[in-house]
Amino acid sequence: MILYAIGDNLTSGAEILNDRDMEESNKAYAYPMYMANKLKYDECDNKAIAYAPNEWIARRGLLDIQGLLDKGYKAEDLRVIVGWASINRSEISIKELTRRNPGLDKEFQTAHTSTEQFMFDTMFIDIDRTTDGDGELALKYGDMARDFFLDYTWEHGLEYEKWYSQILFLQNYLENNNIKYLFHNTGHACDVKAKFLENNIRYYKPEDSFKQWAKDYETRALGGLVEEAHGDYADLLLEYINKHELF
Amino acid sequence: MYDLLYTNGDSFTMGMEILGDKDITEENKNHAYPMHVTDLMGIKDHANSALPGAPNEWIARQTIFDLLRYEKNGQDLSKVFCLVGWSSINRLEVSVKEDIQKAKDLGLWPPMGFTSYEIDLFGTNFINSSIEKFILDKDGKNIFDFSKGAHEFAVEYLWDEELEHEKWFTNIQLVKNFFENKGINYLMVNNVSPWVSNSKWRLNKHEDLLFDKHYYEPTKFSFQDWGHSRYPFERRQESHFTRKVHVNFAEKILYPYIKENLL
Repeated sequence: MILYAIGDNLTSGAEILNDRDMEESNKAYAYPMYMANKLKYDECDNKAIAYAPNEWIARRGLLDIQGLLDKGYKAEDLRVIVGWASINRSEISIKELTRRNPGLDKEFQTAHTSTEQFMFDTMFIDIDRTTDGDGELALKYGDMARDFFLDYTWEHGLEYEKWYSQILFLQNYLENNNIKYLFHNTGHACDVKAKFLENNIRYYKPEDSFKQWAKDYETRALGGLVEEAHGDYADLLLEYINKHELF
Repeated sequence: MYDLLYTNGDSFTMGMEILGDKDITEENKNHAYPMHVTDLMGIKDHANSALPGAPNEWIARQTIFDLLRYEKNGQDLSKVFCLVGWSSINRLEVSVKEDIQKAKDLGLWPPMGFTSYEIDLFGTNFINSSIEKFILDKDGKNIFDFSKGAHEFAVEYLWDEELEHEKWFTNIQLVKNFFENKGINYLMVNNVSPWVSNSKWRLNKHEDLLFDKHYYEPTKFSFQDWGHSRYPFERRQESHFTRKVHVNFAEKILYPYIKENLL
Protein backbone atom coordinates (compact mmCIF):
# COMPACT_ATOMS: atom_id res chain seq x y z
CA MET A 1 0.00 0.00 0.00
CA ILE A 2 1.26 3.48 -0.85
CA LEU A 3 0.20 6.91 0.44
CA TYR A 4 0.72 9.66 -2.12
CA ALA A 5 0.69 13.21 -0.74
CA ILE A 6 0.73 16.58 -2.44
CA GLY A 7 0.42 20.14 -1.20
CA ASP A 8 2.53 23.09 -0.11
CA ASN A 9 4.96 23.84 2.76
CA LEU A 10 2.68 22.43 5.43
CA THR A 11 2.39 19.12 3.59
CA SER A 12 6.11 19.04 2.80
CA GLY A 13 6.86 19.63 6.49
CA ALA A 14 8.95 22.72 5.75
CA GLU A 15 10.89 23.95 8.81
CA ILE A 16 10.11 20.94 11.01
CA LEU A 17 13.83 20.37 11.46
CA ASN A 18 14.79 24.01 11.88
CA ASP A 19 13.75 27.57 11.22
CA ARG A 20 13.96 28.31 7.46
CA ASP A 21 14.89 24.70 6.69
CA MET A 22 13.04 23.72 3.53
CA GLU A 23 15.06 20.59 2.79
CA GLU A 24 13.40 17.41 1.54
CA SER A 25 14.51 15.69 4.75
CA ASN A 26 11.67 17.46 6.60
CA LYS A 27 9.22 15.20 4.79
CA ALA A 28 10.25 12.28 7.01
CA TYR A 29 8.58 14.10 9.94
CA ALA A 30 5.58 15.65 8.20
CA TYR A 31 1.97 14.55 8.79
CA PRO A 32 1.74 12.35 5.66
CA MET A 33 4.66 10.23 6.86
CA TYR A 34 3.06 9.92 10.32
CA MET A 35 -0.14 8.74 8.66
CA ALA A 36 1.63 6.22 6.43
CA ASN A 37 3.48 4.81 9.44
CA LYS A 38 0.39 4.49 11.58
CA LEU A 39 -1.52 2.92 8.72
CA LYS A 40 1.43 0.54 8.28
CA TYR A 41 1.70 1.36 4.59
CA ASP A 42 4.81 0.31 2.66
CA GLU A 43 5.51 3.73 1.14
CA CYS A 44 4.81 7.42 1.56
CA ASP A 45 5.40 9.37 -1.65
CA ASN A 46 5.26 13.01 -0.58
CA LYS A 47 5.57 15.32 -3.60
CA ALA A 48 4.58 18.55 -1.85
CA ILE A 49 6.61 21.70 -2.55
CA ALA A 50 6.72 24.89 -0.49
CA TYR A 51 4.53 27.72 -1.80
CA ALA A 52 2.83 25.49 -4.38
CA PRO A 53 -0.28 27.04 -5.93
CA ASN A 54 -3.47 24.98 -6.07
CA GLU A 55 -3.39 24.89 -9.86
CA TRP A 56 0.00 23.17 -9.67
CA ILE A 57 -1.17 20.83 -6.89
CA ALA A 58 -4.10 19.61 -9.00
CA ARG A 59 -2.07 19.32 -12.20
CA ARG A 60 0.98 17.70 -10.62
CA GLY A 61 -1.24 15.45 -8.53
CA LEU A 62 -2.95 14.01 -11.59
CA LEU A 63 0.31 13.51 -13.49
CA ASP A 64 2.06 11.87 -10.51
CA ILE A 65 -0.86 9.58 -9.70
CA GLN A 66 -1.20 8.61 -13.35
CA GLY A 67 2.54 7.94 -13.31
CA LEU A 68 2.10 5.58 -10.35
CA LEU A 69 -0.73 3.75 -12.13
CA ASP A 70 1.40 3.51 -15.28
CA LYS A 71 4.22 2.04 -13.18
CA GLY A 72 1.92 -0.79 -12.18
CA TYR A 73 0.51 0.37 -8.85
CA LYS A 74 -3.10 -0.68 -8.57
CA ALA A 75 -5.78 1.89 -7.72
CA GLU A 76 -6.91 -0.24 -4.76
CA ASP A 77 -3.38 -0.12 -3.30
CA LEU A 78 -3.12 3.64 -3.60
CA ARG A 79 -4.35 6.25 -1.12
CA VAL A 80 -4.09 9.98 -1.75
CA ILE A 81 -3.92 12.92 0.62
CA VAL A 82 -4.15 16.44 -0.78
CA GLY A 83 -3.38 19.50 1.32
CA TRP A 84 -4.97 22.38 -0.58
CA ALA A 85 -2.91 25.54 -0.32
CA SER A 86 -3.74 29.22 -0.02
CA ILE A 87 -5.23 31.26 -2.80
CA ASN A 88 -3.12 34.13 -4.22
CA ARG A 89 -0.33 32.00 -5.55
CA SER A 90 0.81 31.55 -9.14
CA GLU A 91 3.51 29.93 -11.23
CA ILE A 92 5.71 31.57 -13.85
CA SER A 93 8.03 30.01 -16.41
CA ILE A 94 11.75 30.76 -16.02
CA LYS A 95 12.91 28.51 -18.84
CA GLU A 96 13.54 31.41 -21.22
CA LEU A 97 14.97 33.64 -18.46
CA THR A 98 17.58 31.10 -17.42
CA ARG A 99 18.48 30.52 -21.07
CA ARG A 100 18.99 34.24 -21.52
CA ASN A 101 21.15 34.45 -18.38
CA PRO A 102 23.69 31.64 -18.85
CA GLY A 103 25.84 30.77 -15.87
CA LEU A 104 23.55 32.56 -13.44
CA ASP A 105 21.50 29.55 -12.32
CA LYS A 106 22.48 30.22 -8.72
CA GLU A 107 20.81 33.62 -8.85
CA PHE A 108 17.52 31.98 -9.81
CA GLN A 109 17.61 29.73 -6.77
CA THR A 110 15.37 30.42 -3.82
CA ALA A 111 16.25 29.77 -0.21
CA HIS A 112 15.00 26.21 -0.25
CA THR A 113 16.21 23.25 -2.26
CA SER A 114 14.34 20.64 -4.30
CA THR A 115 12.21 23.32 -5.74
CA GLU A 116 10.20 23.86 -8.84
CA GLN A 117 13.11 25.74 -10.40
CA PHE A 118 15.16 22.57 -10.69
CA MET A 119 12.36 20.21 -11.55
CA PHE A 120 10.03 22.18 -13.77
CA ASP A 121 11.81 25.41 -14.86
CA THR A 122 9.11 27.42 -13.15
CA MET A 123 8.93 29.63 -10.07
CA PHE A 124 6.07 29.78 -7.57
CA ILE A 125 4.90 33.27 -6.67
CA ASP A 126 3.15 33.80 -3.36
CA ILE A 127 1.54 36.93 -1.98
CA ASP A 128 3.29 36.54 1.38
CA ARG A 129 6.42 34.66 0.40
CA THR A 130 9.45 35.46 2.50
CA THR A 131 12.29 35.98 0.07
CA ASP A 132 15.10 35.99 2.61
CA GLY A 133 17.98 34.00 1.08
CA ASP A 134 16.69 34.02 -2.48
CA GLY A 135 19.11 34.68 -5.34
CA GLU A 136 19.20 38.13 -6.94
CA LEU A 137 17.36 37.15 -10.11
CA ALA A 138 14.80 35.09 -8.19
CA LEU A 139 14.10 38.22 -6.14
CA LYS A 140 13.97 40.51 -9.16
CA TYR A 141 11.60 38.39 -11.24
CA GLY A 142 9.67 37.22 -8.21
CA ASP A 143 8.89 40.82 -7.20
CA MET A 144 7.93 41.76 -10.74
CA ALA A 145 5.60 38.78 -11.02
CA ARG A 146 4.06 39.42 -7.59
CA ASP A 147 3.23 42.97 -8.63
CA PHE A 148 1.61 41.72 -11.81
CA PHE A 149 -0.49 39.07 -10.08
CA LEU A 150 -1.53 41.54 -7.39
CA ASP A 151 -2.71 43.95 -10.06
CA TYR A 152 -4.38 41.47 -12.36
CA THR A 153 -5.19 38.01 -11.10
CA TRP A 154 -5.33 37.73 -7.32
CA GLU A 155 -8.90 38.91 -7.04
CA HIS A 156 -10.83 37.13 -4.29
CA GLY A 157 -13.82 35.92 -6.32
CA LEU A 158 -11.76 34.83 -9.30
CA GLU A 159 -9.22 33.04 -7.12
CA TYR A 160 -11.95 31.06 -5.36
CA GLU A 161 -13.58 30.10 -8.66
CA LYS A 162 -10.24 28.82 -9.89
CA TRP A 163 -9.46 26.98 -6.67
CA TYR A 164 -12.85 25.25 -6.55
CA SER A 165 -12.54 24.12 -10.14
CA GLN A 166 -9.17 22.54 -9.23
CA ILE A 167 -10.76 20.74 -6.29
CA LEU A 168 -13.53 19.40 -8.53
CA PHE A 169 -10.97 18.43 -11.12
CA LEU A 170 -8.92 16.22 -8.81
CA GLN A 171 -12.01 14.89 -7.04
CA ASN A 172 -13.57 13.70 -10.29
CA TYR A 173 -10.31 12.21 -11.51
CA LEU A 174 -9.79 10.24 -8.29
CA GLU A 175 -13.39 9.04 -8.13
CA ASN A 176 -13.41 8.01 -11.79
CA ASN A 177 -10.29 5.95 -11.14
CA ASN A 178 -11.68 4.42 -7.90
CA ILE A 179 -8.85 5.87 -5.84
CA LYS A 180 -9.53 6.54 -2.17
CA TYR A 181 -8.48 9.99 -1.02
CA LEU A 182 -8.76 12.69 1.60
CA PHE A 183 -8.71 16.43 0.92
CA HIS A 184 -8.05 19.05 3.57
CA ASN A 185 -6.86 22.64 3.72
CA THR A 186 -3.41 23.63 4.86
CA GLY A 187 -3.25 27.45 4.63
CA HIS A 188 -6.80 28.66 5.12
CA ALA A 189 -10.42 27.59 5.11
CA CYS A 190 -12.75 27.47 2.12
CA ASP A 191 -14.33 30.80 3.00
CA VAL A 192 -16.76 30.80 0.10
CA LYS A 193 -19.53 28.27 0.73
CA ALA A 194 -20.20 25.69 -1.96
CA LYS A 195 -22.54 22.71 -1.90
CA PHE A 196 -20.08 20.33 -3.53
CA LEU A 197 -17.68 20.86 -0.64
CA GLU A 198 -20.27 20.23 2.05
CA ASN A 199 -21.48 17.09 0.27
CA ASN A 200 -18.04 15.51 0.01
CA ILE A 201 -17.25 13.39 3.06
CA ARG A 202 -13.72 13.02 1.72
CA TYR A 203 -13.06 16.72 2.33
CA TYR A 204 -11.97 17.06 5.95
CA LYS A 205 -13.53 20.17 7.48
CA PRO A 206 -13.49 22.59 4.51
CA GLU A 207 -14.34 25.32 7.00
CA ASP A 208 -11.01 24.79 8.79
CA SER A 209 -7.32 24.39 7.95
CA PHE A 210 -4.19 22.79 9.38
CA LYS A 211 -2.74 26.22 10.10
CA GLN A 212 -5.85 27.48 11.92
CA TRP A 213 -6.14 24.25 13.89
CA ALA A 214 -2.48 24.48 14.94
CA LYS A 215 -2.63 28.08 16.14
CA ASP A 216 -1.56 27.12 19.68
CA TYR A 217 1.49 25.16 18.54
CA GLU A 218 4.95 26.65 18.13
CA THR A 219 5.43 28.32 14.75
CA ARG A 220 8.75 28.46 12.91
CA ALA A 221 10.37 31.58 11.46
CA LEU A 222 8.64 31.33 8.07
CA GLY A 223 5.32 30.04 9.39
CA GLY A 224 6.09 26.30 9.35
CA LEU A 225 4.88 24.05 12.15
CA VAL A 226 6.86 21.89 14.57
CA GLU A 227 6.84 18.08 14.46
CA GLU A 228 4.44 17.79 17.39
CA ALA A 229 1.77 19.65 15.43
CA HIS A 230 2.29 17.36 12.43
CA GLY A 231 2.00 14.24 14.60
CA ASP A 232 -1.15 15.40 16.35
CA TYR A 233 -2.73 16.54 13.10
CA ALA A 234 -1.99 13.16 11.53
CA ASP A 235 -3.86 11.53 14.43
CA LEU A 236 -6.82 13.81 13.83
CA LEU A 237 -6.97 12.98 10.12
CA LEU A 238 -6.62 9.26 10.86
CA GLU A 239 -9.43 9.39 13.39
CA TYR A 240 -11.64 11.01 10.74
CA ILE A 241 -10.57 8.49 8.10
CA ASN A 242 -11.31 5.56 10.39
CA LYS A 243 -14.61 6.98 11.61
CA HIS A 244 -15.90 7.31 8.04
CA GLU A 245 -14.05 4.25 6.71
CA LEU A 246 -12.44 6.34 3.99
CA PHE A 247 -9.27 4.31 3.45
CA MET B 1 -32.72 11.01 -25.95
CA TYR B 2 -31.22 14.38 -24.94
CA ASP B 3 -33.03 17.42 -23.50
CA LEU B 4 -30.25 19.90 -24.06
CA LEU B 5 -27.07 20.46 -26.02
CA TYR B 6 -24.67 22.52 -23.92
CA THR B 7 -21.66 24.05 -25.60
CA ASN B 8 -18.72 26.19 -24.58
CA GLY B 9 -15.62 27.49 -26.31
CA ASP B 10 -14.18 30.62 -27.84
CA SER B 11 -15.15 32.87 -30.75
CA PHE B 12 -15.46 29.96 -33.18
CA THR B 13 -17.98 28.19 -30.95
CA MET B 14 -19.96 31.39 -30.42
CA GLY B 15 -20.04 32.00 -34.18
CA MET B 16 -18.26 35.35 -34.09
CA GLU B 17 -18.57 37.32 -37.36
CA ILE B 18 -21.18 35.03 -38.93
CA LEU B 19 -23.51 38.01 -39.18
CA GLY B 20 -20.84 40.40 -40.43
CA ASP B 21 -17.25 41.52 -40.09
CA LYS B 22 -16.27 42.06 -36.43
CA ASP B 23 -19.80 41.18 -35.26
CA ILE B 24 -19.68 39.57 -31.80
CA THR B 25 -23.35 39.83 -30.86
CA GLU B 26 -25.08 36.92 -29.15
CA GLU B 27 -27.29 36.56 -32.23
CA ASN B 28 -24.35 34.86 -34.00
CA LYS B 29 -24.84 31.86 -31.73
CA ASN B 30 -28.07 30.99 -33.53
CA HIS B 31 -26.03 30.28 -36.66
CA ALA B 32 -22.88 28.76 -35.17
CA TYR B 33 -21.90 25.09 -35.57
CA PRO B 34 -23.24 23.96 -32.16
CA MET B 35 -26.73 25.13 -33.13
CA HIS B 36 -26.60 23.09 -36.34
CA VAL B 37 -25.39 20.03 -34.42
CA THR B 38 -28.29 20.54 -32.00
CA ASP B 39 -30.74 20.54 -34.91
CA LEU B 40 -29.13 17.56 -36.62
CA MET B 41 -29.30 15.55 -33.38
CA GLY B 42 -32.94 16.52 -32.91
CA ILE B 43 -32.29 18.09 -29.52
CA LYS B 44 -34.92 20.58 -28.41
CA ASP B 45 -32.88 22.99 -26.29
CA HIS B 46 -29.51 24.58 -26.78
CA ALA B 47 -27.23 26.61 -24.49
CA ASN B 48 -24.08 28.25 -25.79
CA SER B 49 -21.80 29.84 -23.15
CA ALA B 50 -18.89 30.50 -25.53
CA LEU B 51 -17.19 33.89 -25.54
CA PRO B 52 -14.73 35.47 -27.99
CA GLY B 53 -11.14 35.26 -26.79
CA ALA B 54 -11.93 32.73 -24.06
CA PRO B 55 -8.92 30.92 -22.61
CA ASN B 56 -9.11 27.16 -22.08
CA GLU B 57 -8.97 27.60 -18.32
CA TRP B 58 -12.13 29.72 -18.44
CA ILE B 59 -13.86 27.31 -20.83
CA ALA B 60 -13.21 24.38 -18.48
CA ARG B 61 -14.21 26.23 -15.33
CA GLN B 62 -17.32 27.85 -16.76
CA THR B 63 -18.48 24.55 -18.26
CA ILE B 64 -18.45 22.68 -14.98
CA PHE B 65 -19.99 25.54 -13.02
CA ASP B 66 -22.75 25.97 -15.64
CA LEU B 67 -23.55 22.26 -15.52
CA LEU B 68 -23.52 22.16 -11.72
CA ARG B 69 -26.01 25.02 -11.79
CA TYR B 70 -28.26 23.09 -14.20
CA GLU B 71 -28.04 20.06 -11.94
CA LYS B 72 -28.96 22.15 -8.91
CA ASN B 73 -32.00 23.40 -10.82
CA GLY B 74 -33.18 19.84 -11.43
CA GLN B 75 -31.66 19.06 -14.84
CA ASP B 76 -30.76 15.39 -15.30
CA LEU B 77 -27.19 15.76 -16.59
CA SER B 78 -27.27 12.41 -18.35
CA LYS B 79 -29.77 14.04 -20.72
CA VAL B 80 -27.36 16.82 -21.64
CA PHE B 81 -25.02 16.38 -24.61
CA CYS B 82 -21.92 18.58 -24.34
CA LEU B 83 -19.82 19.98 -27.14
CA VAL B 84 -16.57 21.69 -26.13
CA GLY B 85 -14.52 23.73 -28.61
CA TRP B 86 -11.01 24.13 -27.20
CA SER B 87 -9.26 27.38 -27.89
CA SER B 88 -5.56 28.05 -28.44
CA ILE B 89 -2.89 28.10 -25.75
CA ASN B 90 -1.40 31.50 -24.82
CA ARG B 91 -4.53 33.11 -23.47
CA LEU B 92 -5.09 34.44 -19.98
CA GLU B 93 -7.95 35.76 -17.90
CA VAL B 94 -7.16 38.71 -15.64
CA SER B 95 -9.32 40.69 -13.26
CA VAL B 96 -10.19 44.22 -14.38
CA LYS B 97 -12.45 45.24 -11.52
CA GLU B 98 -10.00 47.99 -10.58
CA ASP B 99 -9.78 49.13 -14.21
CA ILE B 100 -13.57 49.35 -14.33
CA GLN B 101 -13.58 51.41 -11.15
CA LYS B 102 -10.95 53.73 -12.68
CA ALA B 103 -13.06 54.09 -15.82
CA LYS B 104 -16.09 54.88 -13.66
CA ASP B 105 -14.11 57.47 -11.70
CA LEU B 106 -13.15 59.08 -15.02
CA GLY B 107 -16.79 59.11 -16.14
CA LEU B 108 -16.05 56.61 -18.94
CA TRP B 109 -18.41 53.86 -17.79
CA PRO B 110 -20.53 52.40 -19.28
CA PRO B 111 -18.59 52.80 -22.52
CA MET B 112 -20.39 53.54 -25.76
CA GLY B 113 -20.53 50.56 -28.08
CA PHE B 114 -18.22 48.53 -25.91
CA THR B 115 -18.08 44.97 -27.23
CA SER B 116 -16.32 42.69 -24.82
CA TYR B 117 -18.66 40.48 -22.87
CA GLU B 118 -16.35 39.11 -20.19
CA ILE B 119 -15.45 42.59 -18.94
CA ASP B 120 -19.11 43.42 -18.51
CA LEU B 121 -20.25 39.98 -17.31
CA PHE B 122 -17.45 38.94 -14.98
CA GLY B 123 -15.17 41.93 -14.47
CA THR B 124 -12.35 40.01 -16.15
CA ASN B 125 -10.47 40.47 -19.40
CA PHE B 126 -9.39 37.69 -21.77
CA ILE B 127 -5.89 38.41 -22.99
CA ASN B 128 -4.37 36.83 -26.06
CA SER B 129 -1.55 37.59 -28.43
CA SER B 130 -3.60 39.57 -30.94
CA ILE B 131 -6.36 41.49 -29.17
CA GLU B 132 -6.15 44.52 -26.90
CA LYS B 133 -9.19 46.18 -25.40
CA PHE B 134 -9.80 49.91 -25.19
CA ILE B 135 -12.45 52.45 -24.53
CA LEU B 136 -12.68 54.80 -27.51
CA ASP B 137 -14.05 58.33 -27.53
CA LYS B 138 -16.57 59.56 -30.09
CA ASP B 139 -13.77 60.29 -32.56
CA GLY B 140 -12.42 56.75 -32.27
CA LYS B 141 -9.44 57.81 -30.18
CA ASN B 142 -8.19 55.32 -27.60
CA ILE B 143 -8.79 56.90 -24.20
CA PHE B 144 -8.53 53.94 -21.82
CA ASP B 145 -6.54 50.66 -22.01
CA PHE B 146 -7.64 47.58 -20.12
CA SER B 147 -4.93 45.42 -18.55
CA LYS B 148 -2.09 47.57 -19.79
CA GLY B 149 1.16 45.61 -19.74
CA ALA B 150 -0.54 42.28 -18.99
CA HIS B 151 0.06 40.93 -22.47
CA GLU B 152 3.80 41.66 -22.29
CA PHE B 153 4.02 39.97 -18.89
CA ALA B 154 2.21 36.88 -20.13
CA VAL B 155 4.51 36.59 -23.16
CA GLU B 156 7.59 36.94 -21.00
CA TYR B 157 6.70 34.81 -17.98
CA LEU B 158 3.66 32.64 -18.57
CA TRP B 159 3.29 31.49 -22.14
CA ASP B 160 5.94 28.80 -22.29
CA GLU B 161 4.77 26.16 -24.76
CA GLU B 162 5.37 23.15 -22.52
CA LEU B 163 3.79 24.77 -19.46
CA GLU B 164 0.83 25.97 -21.53
CA HIS B 165 0.26 22.46 -22.86
CA GLU B 166 0.40 21.04 -19.32
CA LYS B 167 -2.24 23.54 -18.31
CA TRP B 168 -4.38 22.80 -21.36
CA PHE B 169 -4.03 19.08 -20.64
CA THR B 170 -5.25 19.73 -17.09
CA ASN B 171 -8.25 21.67 -18.36
CA ILE B 172 -9.17 18.89 -20.77
CA GLN B 173 -8.87 16.39 -17.93
CA LEU B 174 -10.92 18.60 -15.65
CA VAL B 175 -13.84 18.64 -18.04
CA LYS B 176 -13.46 15.03 -19.18
CA ASN B 177 -13.46 13.66 -15.63
CA PHE B 178 -16.39 15.85 -14.66
CA PHE B 179 -18.41 14.62 -17.66
CA GLU B 180 -17.56 11.01 -16.95
CA ASN B 181 -18.35 11.34 -13.26
CA LYS B 182 -21.75 12.84 -14.06
CA GLY B 183 -22.58 10.35 -16.84
CA ILE B 184 -22.56 13.07 -19.51
CA ASN B 185 -22.01 12.17 -23.18
CA TYR B 186 -19.77 14.66 -24.96
CA LEU B 187 -17.50 15.60 -27.83
CA MET B 188 -14.42 17.80 -27.71
CA VAL B 189 -12.91 19.45 -30.76
CA ASN B 190 -10.06 21.89 -31.39
CA ASN B 191 -11.20 25.26 -32.60
CA VAL B 192 -7.88 26.94 -33.26
CA SER B 193 -5.00 24.50 -33.49
CA PRO B 194 -4.33 20.79 -33.06
CA TRP B 195 -2.73 19.39 -29.92
CA VAL B 196 1.08 19.47 -30.25
CA SER B 197 3.03 16.44 -29.09
CA ASN B 198 6.65 16.74 -28.11
CA SER B 199 8.63 13.70 -27.03
CA LYS B 200 10.81 15.86 -24.76
CA TRP B 201 7.93 17.15 -22.66
CA ARG B 202 7.14 15.69 -19.25
CA LEU B 203 3.55 15.39 -20.35
CA ASN B 204 4.33 13.12 -23.27
CA LYS B 205 3.86 9.83 -21.44
CA HIS B 206 0.36 10.76 -20.28
CA GLU B 207 -1.04 11.99 -23.57
CA ASP B 208 -2.97 8.79 -24.21
CA LEU B 209 -5.38 10.02 -21.51
CA LEU B 210 -6.58 12.62 -24.00
CA PHE B 211 -7.06 10.50 -27.03
CA ASP B 212 -10.29 8.61 -27.04
CA LYS B 213 -13.44 8.71 -29.11
CA HIS B 214 -14.76 11.77 -27.23
CA TYR B 215 -12.04 14.00 -28.73
CA TYR B 216 -12.25 14.53 -32.49
CA GLU B 217 -8.80 13.96 -34.04
CA PRO B 218 -6.93 15.93 -31.33
CA THR B 219 -3.49 15.90 -32.96
CA LYS B 220 -4.60 16.46 -36.55
CA PHE B 221 -7.63 18.68 -36.68
CA SER B 222 -8.80 22.19 -35.87
CA PHE B 223 -11.91 23.97 -37.12
CA GLN B 224 -9.82 26.99 -38.06
CA ASP B 225 -7.33 25.01 -40.17
CA TRP B 226 -10.10 22.98 -41.79
CA GLY B 227 -12.15 26.06 -42.60
CA HIS B 228 -9.24 28.06 -43.90
CA SER B 229 -8.08 25.33 -46.25
CA ARG B 230 -11.53 24.42 -47.59
CA TYR B 231 -13.31 27.75 -47.57
CA PRO B 232 -10.64 30.44 -48.05
CA PHE B 233 -13.21 32.84 -49.48
CA GLU B 234 -15.68 32.43 -46.61
CA ARG B 235 -13.52 34.27 -44.09
CA ARG B 236 -14.39 37.47 -42.29
CA GLN B 237 -12.17 40.40 -41.43
CA GLU B 238 -10.93 38.83 -38.18
CA SER B 239 -10.46 35.36 -39.69
CA HIS B 240 -13.73 33.83 -38.51
CA PHE B 241 -16.15 32.10 -40.85
CA THR B 242 -19.45 32.73 -42.54
CA ARG B 243 -22.55 30.66 -41.77
CA LYS B 244 -21.86 28.30 -44.67
CA VAL B 245 -18.65 27.04 -43.06
CA HIS B 246 -20.37 26.46 -39.71
CA VAL B 247 -23.20 24.55 -41.40
CA ASN B 248 -20.77 22.36 -43.32
CA PHE B 249 -18.62 21.75 -40.23
CA ALA B 250 -21.69 20.50 -38.38
CA GLU B 251 -23.11 18.49 -41.30
CA LYS B 252 -19.93 17.00 -42.75
CA ILE B 253 -17.68 16.57 -39.75
CA LEU B 254 -19.29 16.75 -36.33
CA TYR B 255 -22.71 15.16 -36.76
CA PRO B 256 -21.52 12.13 -38.78
CA TYR B 257 -18.77 11.57 -36.19
CA ILE B 258 -21.18 11.85 -33.25
CA LYS B 259 -23.70 9.54 -34.94
CA GLU B 260 -21.10 6.91 -35.68
CA ASN B 261 -19.09 7.03 -32.46
CA LEU B 262 -21.08 8.53 -29.61
CA LEU B 263 -24.76 7.68 -30.03
